[in-house]
Amino acid sequence: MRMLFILILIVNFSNAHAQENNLVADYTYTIKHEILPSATTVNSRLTANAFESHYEMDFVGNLNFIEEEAGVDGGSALAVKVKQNPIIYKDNQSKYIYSIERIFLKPFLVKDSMNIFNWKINENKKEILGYSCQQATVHYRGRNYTAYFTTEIPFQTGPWKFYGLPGLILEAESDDGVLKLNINKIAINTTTTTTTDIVNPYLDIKLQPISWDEYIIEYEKKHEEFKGFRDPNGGTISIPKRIIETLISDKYLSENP
Amino acid sequence: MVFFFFCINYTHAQHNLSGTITDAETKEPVKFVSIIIKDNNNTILSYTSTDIQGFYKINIPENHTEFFVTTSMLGYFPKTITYKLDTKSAPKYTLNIAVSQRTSSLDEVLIETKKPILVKKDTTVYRPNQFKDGSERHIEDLLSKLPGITIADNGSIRFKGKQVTRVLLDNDNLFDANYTIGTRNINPEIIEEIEAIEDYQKNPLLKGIENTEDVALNLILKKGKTDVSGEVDVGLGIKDKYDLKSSMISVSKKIKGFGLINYNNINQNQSPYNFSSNTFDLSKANELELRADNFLNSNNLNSIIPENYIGENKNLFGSINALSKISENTSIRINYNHLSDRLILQDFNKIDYNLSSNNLIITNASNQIKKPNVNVLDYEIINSLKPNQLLNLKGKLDYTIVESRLLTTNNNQVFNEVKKSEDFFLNQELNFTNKIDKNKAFQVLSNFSSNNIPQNFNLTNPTDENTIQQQIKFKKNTFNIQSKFLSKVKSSSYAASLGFYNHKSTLESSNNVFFTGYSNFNNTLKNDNSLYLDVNYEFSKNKWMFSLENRLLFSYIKITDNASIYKDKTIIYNPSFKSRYLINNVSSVYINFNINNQAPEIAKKHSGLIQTNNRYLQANNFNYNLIKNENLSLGYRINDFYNLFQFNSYVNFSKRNFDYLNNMFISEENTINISSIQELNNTSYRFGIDTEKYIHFFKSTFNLKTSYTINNYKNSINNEGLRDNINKSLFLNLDVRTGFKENLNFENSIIFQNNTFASSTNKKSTFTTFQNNFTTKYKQDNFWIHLDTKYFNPDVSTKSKGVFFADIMFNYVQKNKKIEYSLRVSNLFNTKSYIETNSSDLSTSTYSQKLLERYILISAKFKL
Repeated sequence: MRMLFILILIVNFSNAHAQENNLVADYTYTIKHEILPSATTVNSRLTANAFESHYEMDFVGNLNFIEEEAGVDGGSALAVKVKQNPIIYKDNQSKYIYSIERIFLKPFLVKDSMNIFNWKINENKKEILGYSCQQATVHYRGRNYTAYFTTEIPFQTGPWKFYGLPGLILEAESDDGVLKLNINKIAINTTTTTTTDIVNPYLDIKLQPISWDEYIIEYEKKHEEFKGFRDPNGGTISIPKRIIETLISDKYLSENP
Repeated sequence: MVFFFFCINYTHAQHNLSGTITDAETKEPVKFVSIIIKDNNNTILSYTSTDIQGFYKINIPENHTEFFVTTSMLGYFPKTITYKLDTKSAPKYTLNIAVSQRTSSLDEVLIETKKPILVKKDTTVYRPNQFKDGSERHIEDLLSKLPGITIADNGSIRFKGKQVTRVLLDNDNLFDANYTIGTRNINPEIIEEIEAIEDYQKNPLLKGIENTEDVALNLILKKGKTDVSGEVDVGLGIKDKYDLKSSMISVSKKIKGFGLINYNNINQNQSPYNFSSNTFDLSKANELELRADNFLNSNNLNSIIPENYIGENKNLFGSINALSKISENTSIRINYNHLSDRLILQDFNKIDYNLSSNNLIITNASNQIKKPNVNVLDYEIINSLKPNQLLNLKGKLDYTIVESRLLTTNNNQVFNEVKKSEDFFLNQELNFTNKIDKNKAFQVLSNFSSNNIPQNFNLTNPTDENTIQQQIKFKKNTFNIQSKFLSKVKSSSYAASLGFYNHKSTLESSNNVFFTGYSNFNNTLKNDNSLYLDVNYEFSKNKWMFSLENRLLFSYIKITDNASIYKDKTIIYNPSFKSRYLINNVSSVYINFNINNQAPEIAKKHSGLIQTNNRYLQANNFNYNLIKNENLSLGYRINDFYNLFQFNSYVNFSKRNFDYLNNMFISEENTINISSIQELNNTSYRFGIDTEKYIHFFKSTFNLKTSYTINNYKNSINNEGLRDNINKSLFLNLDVRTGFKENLNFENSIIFQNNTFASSTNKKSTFTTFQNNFTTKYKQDNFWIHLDTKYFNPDVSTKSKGVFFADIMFNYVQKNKKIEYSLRVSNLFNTKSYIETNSSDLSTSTYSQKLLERYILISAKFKL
């Protein structure tokens, strides 16, 4: 009996370790704002396990594979140097999404609650990277998005801020073509994934976390201030009403002409 | 009846399936489990997930009485249960599921597809539509509205305090340094977006190796159906005023071109060349060392009145610019500018000299017709011999003739003056760059230049038939070759170069002016052969930036002037040190120090007299010494764009150990300036604050600039001995700009300047000038009005009335933006002249200039 007890203990112990499931998925992140003629495309990496997911958009270049080459005319040298990649961190246990949102380049740490996506599942299906995926749509803060997810990969997360479908989101695009996320690599429980640690990058930084609503209030306040500013040549500053999410709502505009 | 009701309920009510998911072993509820309802085709119909109590509630899809319920959770095996709706339990259905933990992890998976080409793009991008308010006529107007960009009066642009050296068109350098031709004439409607490229490196091979403080603005054009666009601007007015302008821009894969022609007599000058005031000529910024001096053509006084009020012009300017990639590796750029103008300038000057011996009052009037004629050709050929080698051939030819006829007075005498000067300038550069690897590069740079300025001056006094005739021939030829090695290692970058240059200047002049003790001819030569070594080092890491630049010259200088000869070998060392520390991400402190030693220029070496107008003569006492200049600056800067606050405070100290001592002899007929190099230790101190803040309560932006300068300098009058002079100058400028949401907005600028002069031999003299500019702007849809009023009081202490100007402009743009109409009234109150009072250590003077009389101009602008 004692032997059996010890055996069960050992088996349980090894079971506990066997529960770690790690996912590393690379997506192409393309963003093309309405007024710009050109899009910016970078590689991005989603690292996830049962409790958290970490999504990094690689503007700095560590994850890029093709080096930029200077053209004969001088090329486009780097200007606003991004020192660190933007990261979106999702905590599945406490149900918060952490991200850095900016107002005119000043960063704010936004801790958003994980109840922002109200997905509607459709019957359409498509195959991506060999997985059978089903379509889901959502209206999120000003734009309509269409995503494809697969229950064959049971991680309830996805690229960027997307989460909450019963399987990994392999593709997500806004219907107006502004934001596009497409999977190009999946690795589950390989030797590289098991050695990748997921860390919340925002735990120790000096910025105090604020909620999305508090961020919007500050954004609206700055939008007003900038409109009144005049530089020596009569120019003013205008911050966009929406970047990806709508920041200055039509309702706000109608109340504050 | 009950059945019917029951049926209706059944078909319309939302049916839910709920339950609790528990762990099969521990019997504990499992949270965040996905619950999926699927049909026979494996299509998901609805889903939910369990809450922290393991409880779920899911909508049952309509028209399905049988479906599959699957659980999905990392760490647990998925479980699928076939569920049949049992109408007896309607509308609430229950399903509890127990799930088993996985004994092993998910299977290993590694799938990859071919990645698309990824492009990194990190530049500050401006979307013009966010900043336009519709009143922009040219790109310069739009650029001036972008945050971080400021534009000086001569059109030169600064971005975040750094000089913009190039304005590119779709990444092509069409205008090179003369970008005002483009920024002041291209229509902002064709611009899609504007990129500000910091650390702009003209030479693509040096990108990442050599740090620069240059900035380039890249104008990205809209891709439209036609690649040719242009505009025609026709303005006609009272009296006999016209402003005709036409410009065209053409963009295609192989060639980019821009052409402009302007003919006006409303004192507008579209060219970068300036002949009516002393504003710095942007086009010659890089050529100062290569050019000879022009004795006859400097304009005497700096006025605070804007250039376009002074005198009367008749200006024709044309410019053609083209850039073409003639092959895959070669591109060629050609720019040609032509200016011909006829300027009528009238001024009157009365100087009251307070000399210890006697008080002398000199009055001069001048009525001048000045005709400049400029032709400039610029070209550049860039050839990429190999992917890591670049050859650059650049040249400039500049032929300028200025002819002036003047009727002048000098106290009671009247003169006819005729001045003619030709300026022929040629510069040719050949540069070779080899990029050794990602961090190292090697260059060979060479250039050859030649500048020849022959000038004639004829001064006739009709009453006594005395004529002064003078010819000057001033030449400067330079040759320079250097090899340069650049390297970047982690946080530091180095550059070392070894070079040789020869600068040869000759000044030949002769006239028939007679003064005892001075000759009336010059045969002066300066030949400077120098071998030089430049070593530069820059370190930049975290919050520190530190840079050291050194130039060591081994020079053999020979100067001959009429009979005297000086020749010697000299070693000159010119270091420059800069450091900056970032206190946080909005503020920084900086310190700059440099020493500059220079051999004197030939224009200050000639011993024979040269006459430049009806009374002024200059010559020099020949003695040789290096002019040494030391400069120290310290500053503290805050750039908080987010809070719309900027603050810049600085302290500057500069000292000239050896400097030119001006020894002036003033009589009723002439002013003679004999300069010599002496150890004078002239110093100047400057302290300044510049701050800007937006205050939301007033919806206005406030800007305050103050500076206080103390200048210690020496001179001598009529051989009365060396005088120590102190000039203290206080400058104050307060601007307020409103930003109301309504259509009406205001701007007010107050400028106050106080100057005090004191001399060891004289009493103190002080004068104060005051200026107030008030602008009203009204905008409504396609229509705007600008009313500009300026008040100048050149000497507050004498209670002079001051002068008042007003300009008004109306502008209307058609809905389809094809035609724009404007009406302008300039100098509304027809102020005839502007009188300015000045004071210095030896005199008080009143200077008045005739202004462009009032005109009304109606113009229409058509976009082609």
